[in-house]
Amino acid sequence: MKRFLILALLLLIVTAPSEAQNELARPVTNILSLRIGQGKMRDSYLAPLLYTGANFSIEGQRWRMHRDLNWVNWQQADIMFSSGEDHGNNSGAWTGRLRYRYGILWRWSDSLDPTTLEVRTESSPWSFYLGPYAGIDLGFDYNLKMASSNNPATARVVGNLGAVGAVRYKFQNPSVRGMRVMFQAYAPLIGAGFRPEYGASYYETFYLSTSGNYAHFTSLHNQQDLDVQLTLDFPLAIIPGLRSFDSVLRLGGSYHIETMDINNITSRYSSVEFVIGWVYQYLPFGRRKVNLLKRSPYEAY
Amino acid sequence: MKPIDMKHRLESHHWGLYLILLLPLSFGLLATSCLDDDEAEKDDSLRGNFEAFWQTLDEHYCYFDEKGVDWDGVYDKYAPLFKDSILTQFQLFQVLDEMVDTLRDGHINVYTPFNIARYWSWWEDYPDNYEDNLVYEYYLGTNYWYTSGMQYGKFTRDSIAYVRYSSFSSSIGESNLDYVLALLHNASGLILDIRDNGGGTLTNAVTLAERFATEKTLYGYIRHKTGKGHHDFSDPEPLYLEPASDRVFWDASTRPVVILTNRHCFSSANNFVQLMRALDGTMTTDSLGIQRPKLIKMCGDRTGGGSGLPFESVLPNGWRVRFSACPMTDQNGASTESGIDPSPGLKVDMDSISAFENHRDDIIEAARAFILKNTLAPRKTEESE
Repeated sequence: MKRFLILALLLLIVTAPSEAQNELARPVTNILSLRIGQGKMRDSYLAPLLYTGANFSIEGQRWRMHRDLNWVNWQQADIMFSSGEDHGNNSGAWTGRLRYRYGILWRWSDSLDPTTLEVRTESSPWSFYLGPYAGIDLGFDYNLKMASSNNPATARVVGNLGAVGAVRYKFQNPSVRGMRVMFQAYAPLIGAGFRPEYGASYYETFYLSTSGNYAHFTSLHNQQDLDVQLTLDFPLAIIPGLRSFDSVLRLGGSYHIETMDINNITSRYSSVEFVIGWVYQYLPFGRRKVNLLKRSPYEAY
Repeated sequence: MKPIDMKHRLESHHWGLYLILLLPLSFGLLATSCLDDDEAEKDDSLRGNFEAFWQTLDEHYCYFDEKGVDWDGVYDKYAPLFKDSILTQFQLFQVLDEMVDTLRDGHINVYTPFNIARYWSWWEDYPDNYEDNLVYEYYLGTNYWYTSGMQYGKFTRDSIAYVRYSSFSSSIGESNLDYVLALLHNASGLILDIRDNGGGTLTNAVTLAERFATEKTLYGYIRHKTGKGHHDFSDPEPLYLEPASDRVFWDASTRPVVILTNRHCFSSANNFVQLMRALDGTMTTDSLGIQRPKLIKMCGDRTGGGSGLPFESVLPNGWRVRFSACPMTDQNGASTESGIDPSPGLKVDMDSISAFENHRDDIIEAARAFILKNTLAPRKTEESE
């Protein structure tokens, strides 16, 4: 208990607002998105068939700029569920994922004055971001037709280090001011993950806990994942008749694919989704009185 | 102040906008072509399903060598039929059913909407050795106690406990077992009747067997496939029975246990017999420090086998396939896939019809005689009850 209290105190100290009231708050932008589309799953541990069906995800992103304005803390989390059927609609499968990523991105942009944080006249509408991230993926693939078997599902537990990059284009035309296009991509490079053995049963893995070959180093030779997202963010206020609204809407598309070839088991999952989201600023507690300057909702990216 | 020429600015950056729009398209196309696997859409034709069935077993089935099956030869025999002879799903089913027969394995099935392909010769060609009505009418009666799938009571004539457990699919609760064993503890021996028990969940077999163990006991090994080759197996992993701590256990060193078996004892029931056989002869130390060997015997007919843990898969047409994937052996490394013989001197066959007419279950009677001869429990006679 004492250890827990000390740990909690340390966390409070670390996370407490450090800026004085007169200092500038670091821009923070959050994006909450709903993604709907089509997913495809195949896992040879279960069956050699491809299952295709509806895909549904909720995603949150957080972009928080460092004080030197060259770095951005990037966090992304999503929860996904997909229900598919095989080619002949004879059998079904469910797929679920829960993913979290934390990255630090180097930012190339001249839209902010590094000394005053003032938004200045831009010579370029572009911003580029690139950096490493650490993430964890949890998930499952479940074959409905094999519910009572010794191999009804596979679990996905993978920790990864990868690269994340983004390009942002900000429209300069006054009539669409605030509108921007964003392209993001991230992919794991190395990591470690759980994978059942080729023919190991649930009975062995979970009941007997036999010493199987379950933990694996992953890299591009046995795991190829890629997430790309192209989005358009536009303030509702640019639409005639909605001038009084200050919300920013996100529309776009995303493509995700993950493959894994370990223990002679091949698994594939891919999705193509339509994205609709809400872009908003978040002010950490204790910073509400901070001078936020006159800036658009996007300073963090 | 010089006005910003927005038009010029936009035009000057058009190349970038095009780039940002082309980037995801390129990424998507690249990823799709390199990583996606749409061709995994298996061929759903009659031939395609035959191929999928053959391949699934070729890559996952675990007893090709033990059964001496030439699986390539099976392919060569049936594949040509799909050129012109096999025209309906019923004919496809018939081919798969014949292929199942070549493997002589009760764990292989093809589940279709209209039938189940199966191999049942492992019990169909043998005596039944069990008559339900005989047991209930003349031995167990109608007043038996019943919990966790176990029907139990004591024969008043000689105070021998009798437990009928007909399926390992019936979950066994630890506290249920406590009650059953505690209520029967003053019996002179235990007859555990698993005849016609076609298996179920292996953990139930382990849970039940642990009540007869007094120390950690090796009872077998398990392996699994590590690749698609017929010889790609993991190293044998030892399997142990652990005594059920703080639970009621049955002292088989003073009160013998006889398990009644027939050819219908398959899969988990076969594994249970293997577990109990491993306990036979292991020592029990009583409160005075005296060691006695446990007496746990099998009586009746050879079990049906089925020691491979089954896996499942699905064919492109949705038919479900089940097959043995993880072979298990006994503690000496011997396979029990083809069954386990009864203990020496306790092989008993019984004609069910004449047994019913004579009101006598020969297998139960043989077990009774063995218990009465070997029990160390105080003998109770009919008069003393």
